[in-house]
Amino acid sequence: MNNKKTFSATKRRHLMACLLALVTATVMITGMTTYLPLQMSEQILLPILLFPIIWVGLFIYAYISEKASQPFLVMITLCLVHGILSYFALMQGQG
Amino acid sequence: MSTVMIVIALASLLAALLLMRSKHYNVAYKWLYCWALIAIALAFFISVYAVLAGIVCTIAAFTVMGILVALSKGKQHT
Amino acid sequence: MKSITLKKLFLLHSWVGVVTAVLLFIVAFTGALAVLARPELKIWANQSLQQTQHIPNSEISTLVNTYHAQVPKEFGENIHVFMPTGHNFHLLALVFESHHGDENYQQEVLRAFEFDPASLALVNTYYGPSKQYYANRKTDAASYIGEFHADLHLGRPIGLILTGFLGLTLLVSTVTGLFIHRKLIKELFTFRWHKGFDVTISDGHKVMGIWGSIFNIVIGFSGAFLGLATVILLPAAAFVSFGGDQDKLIETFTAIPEPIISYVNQPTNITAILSDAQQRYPHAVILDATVMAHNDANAQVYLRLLGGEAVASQLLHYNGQGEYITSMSSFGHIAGVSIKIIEILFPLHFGNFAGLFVKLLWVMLGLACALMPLSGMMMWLAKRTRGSTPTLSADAYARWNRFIIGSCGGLVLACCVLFPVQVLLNYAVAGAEHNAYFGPVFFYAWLVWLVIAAFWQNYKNYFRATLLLCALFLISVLPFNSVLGVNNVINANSTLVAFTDISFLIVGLAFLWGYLKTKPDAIALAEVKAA
Repeated sequence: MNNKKTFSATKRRHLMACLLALVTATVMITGMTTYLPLQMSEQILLPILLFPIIWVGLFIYAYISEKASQPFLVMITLCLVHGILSYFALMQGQG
Repeated sequence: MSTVMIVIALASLLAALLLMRSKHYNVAYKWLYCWALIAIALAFFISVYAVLAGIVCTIAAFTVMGILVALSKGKQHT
Repeated sequence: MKSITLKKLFLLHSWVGVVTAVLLFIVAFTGALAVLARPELKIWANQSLQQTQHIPNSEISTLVNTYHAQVPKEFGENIHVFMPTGHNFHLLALVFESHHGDENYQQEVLRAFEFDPASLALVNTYYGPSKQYYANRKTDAASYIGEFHADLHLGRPIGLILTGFLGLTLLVSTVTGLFIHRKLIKELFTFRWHKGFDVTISDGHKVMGIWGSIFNIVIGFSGAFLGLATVILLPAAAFVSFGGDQDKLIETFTAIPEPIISYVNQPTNITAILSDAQQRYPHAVILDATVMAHNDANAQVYLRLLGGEAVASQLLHYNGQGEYITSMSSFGHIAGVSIKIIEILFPLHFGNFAGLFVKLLWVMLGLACALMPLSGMMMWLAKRTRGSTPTLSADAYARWNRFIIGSCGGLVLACCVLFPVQVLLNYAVAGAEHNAYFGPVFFYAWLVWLVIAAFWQNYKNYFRATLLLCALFLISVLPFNSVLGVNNVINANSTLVAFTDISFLIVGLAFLWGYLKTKPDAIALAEVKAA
């Protein structure tokens, strides 16, 4: 594979694409159910429908971005934001 | 009756595909005729299967016919 | 788009394709066969389904009344009637279910009665846990292939996760493939079969890829959804609102309300209900009926229909007196656009929304989808053996080819073996005992062919042998069925069976034509002559 010149930080990109993208897309489903301004059924079903598109987008982005840090930052930010939103929604639900 | 309509629809799609790959017609008119033939096929499929199923069927049939036409009468240029 | 980005997309497309090639071929090929599994090949495989698929509505009503009187009271909560249409069971099945168990079982338990569709004679009875009944129902060759397509017989959730992820990688391959082929319109009709094998394979890959991109995106998306929905998507979506309990989520959205038992006796008019549904949707098939509070004044009946004018399957709701209330999606009453999209994902994936013609289109598109990873793999291998400093030696190239023929060709062979075996099982083995044979026959046939790859040095002859064996197995179906089958092409008792047997013969002859067209390896011949 001629990836020494084409891709930088190959191992990190593999990790992001194969693991972090899945985690991010999954956490995003959970988080999206908390803020979508739609009725309940849409709040739950729309994120489910968007999962494949989100995952494919993140997977491809992990490889084609110029620097490996860019998709990493994007995915971590998305994970944190949606994770925090889910946490607060859970706390509110339990309280 | 529905079999006849499906055959006519497939024939329209085949004509559209053969026209698409042909070099013998003026470009503007060629695409107009192609779209007209596809619309005829769409109309026939919708009359057999109802609207949504007809649209899906047209796209699927167009895809299959396209592959078959390309593999059997594919252009040989380099 | 920058050339470096295109290069990255090309490498991504290549590597995702190479890593998933064999598995994607396996899933796509078995999927193409699974399209015809229900009801066509199920009817072909089960003699009980071949004569009568429509039972008089009054007979069904009589059977429900007769057997409801024979079962304990708690089993009248939910009565399911599974019609012998080739979509569910191979017999007419009456299932009386108690969701809260009974004196012997603390779990969902049922009493089932199965009848021959033609004579309505009682054939089987069952009493025990519901899960066991549904898990052990009689399977057949095509249904076995269909179940293999869904979860590779690895069980759930692992099998579903694997096939779901293959759907996602198919999406990646299709999207990246569209980006890297800049001359889409030109490549639509470019197919050069006189320029050598490598050029032909490359052009074929591009033709099938560009034309089939819409289909591949739909299949990838719906396949990913179907595989991952119950494993990742629903639990994640239910995490906040339902504490991760997807069963609770499903129950909230799709639960059909339990009727309140009035204890006022009023016969449930099943005959009128079935007749009304058949008149409303004459082109649809009634798959099953669910009767709640049978013979009570508050009885409710739900019919599940497939086909007709609706693309997705639908539920018709009636009250016990036979009055039509409403129709809804098979998921129940859920508002919004998303549920409409989810509803049509199923028929778009299975291709079962508009009869045999659309199914044949889906089969051809599925086979094209299966040939994509295979042709891509061959392009990748060929590229690495070309040039002055190839990265793949001739030996390694031959080993790769033998592996692909053993794994992919072996799968095709294993599928072909199942059909004559089905005919033999129908003759020699009774009922659900068939189930014990499909697994060993399928997997051992595949394994043997894969192991042979380690020893058969000439991959071209190995490929020809695969074609020949597939041809022989498929061609044998018609003569076997003519001798051993009750309904066959000679007595023409069943048009579907005759048509299917002839189709097997035609496909077998196509394999034979492929065998005769591919020339034996000249090197091997020269070696034989020298010896």
